[in-house]
Amino acid sequence: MQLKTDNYGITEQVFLPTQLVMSNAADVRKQIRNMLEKGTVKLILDLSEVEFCDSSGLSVLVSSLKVAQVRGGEVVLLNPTNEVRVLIELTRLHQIFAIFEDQQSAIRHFA
Amino acid sequence: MKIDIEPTALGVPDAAMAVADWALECRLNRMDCFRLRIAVAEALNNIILHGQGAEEAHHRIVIECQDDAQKLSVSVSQLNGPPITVPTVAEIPGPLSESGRGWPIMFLWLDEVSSDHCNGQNVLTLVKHL
Repeated sequence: MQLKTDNYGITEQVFLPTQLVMSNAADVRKQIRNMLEKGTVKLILDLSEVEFCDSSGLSVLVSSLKVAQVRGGEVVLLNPTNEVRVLIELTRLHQIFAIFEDQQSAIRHFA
Repeated sequence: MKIDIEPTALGVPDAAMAVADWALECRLNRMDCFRLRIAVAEALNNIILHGQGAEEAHHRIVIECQDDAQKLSVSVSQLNGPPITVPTVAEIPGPLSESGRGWPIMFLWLDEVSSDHCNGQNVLTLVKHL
């Protein structure tokens, strides 16, 4: 499944799928890694459609951040559902990600 | 309720959702249903990763759900699979870690996590109090 993306200059917004789980984690990870290796280093991972995420999905978020940081970039999270936010906070990912509630704030963060 | 799935990751989300729907009908609140859904997915993922991966009928994973008035029990079993070792302590790894979150999520979001082995059947039991 091809991830939908929008480009805002130096920033790429990636719309993550409704389920971010073990069965699709490798594919999603690969697509995001490809974007980063092609030069995109400022990523907005849009979680607004993600209604279910397991620990494999969380690992995709973390690996994306680590690849971006190696290249001098950054990854932020956009608009997680309440349930996914609870999971993010349980696993302390909010300590390493900036999390935005609206798109304009996320884009401004990179401006 | 009883669900039977092939030992592949593709069946995990729907199975976990079915358990959460059942739990909601059993009076568990919505947020705890979400927590149970994630925990069941982690348990199934663990068995698929470390158990018998072949899509053979005798390696199918069986999920049995029981409403005991005060608690909901979800037993996940795989015939002929290797023993399931539940860690005695499971802490959430550092946020930059890319693995090791499955067991801690189960421990933190459930009231009981235990395993048993009898008659060639490995059973992982997840309990959520009502």
